[in-house]
Amino acid sequence: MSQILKLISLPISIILICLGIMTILGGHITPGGGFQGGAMIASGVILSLLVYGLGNSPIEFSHLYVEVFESIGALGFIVLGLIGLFAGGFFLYNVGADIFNIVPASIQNLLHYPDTTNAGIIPYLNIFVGLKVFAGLSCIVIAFEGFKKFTEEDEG
Amino acid sequence: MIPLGPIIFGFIFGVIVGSQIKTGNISDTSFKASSYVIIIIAALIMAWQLGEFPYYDFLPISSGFVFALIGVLLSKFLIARSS
Repeated sequence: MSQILKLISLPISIILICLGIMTILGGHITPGGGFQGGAMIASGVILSLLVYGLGNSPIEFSHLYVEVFESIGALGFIVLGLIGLFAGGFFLYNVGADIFNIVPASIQNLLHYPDTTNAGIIPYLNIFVGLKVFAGLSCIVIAFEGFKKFTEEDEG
Repeated sequence: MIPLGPIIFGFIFGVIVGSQIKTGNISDTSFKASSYVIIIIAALIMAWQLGEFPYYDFLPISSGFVFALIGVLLSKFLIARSS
């Protein structure tokens, strides 16, 4: 890739990552949310990977990193759902907002998002989904780049 | 009341992603301190234009965006070692 692209893609990637995080954090009150924000963060990573190539990219994830954050995203979502099941009686019951008044105050205070919207666990679910989508989409592109390199080496 | 949600989670998310930004990998382009100053200025202008997104009005800029940037840059300089 050209020198101009290499100079500009890392700053744009960093700004895209911040924009994605902002989209995740506003997901409970504005359009957007975990999936969209995670995809925006992954787009920053993908831009960097496409311009610099696998092996030279400033933003590259190891197998362990992707594995850990993908698992945290999935497990966090399930754990929040199970907390709702055991504390409120329904899977994914919003224990932070607690509209039926059936959850003990201690659990409600623990999972109440520090915000004035009284959104309960919705922002936390957005964060976990965002983490999972960001790790998953980045992993797919890293794998494709790796396969491409592998095929080129085989042909060459 | 200052909403702590976007501050805390924006910073944590930024730290998670920024810890993997290693400019030492780049072979033919160098990123010096001045490059990061430009990134900060551009990001602050962008945060200003985004306004009080989505409604957190304790700052005239988008707080989630700014704290994500702080997290990314701090962890890039402190945690990502090969830079």
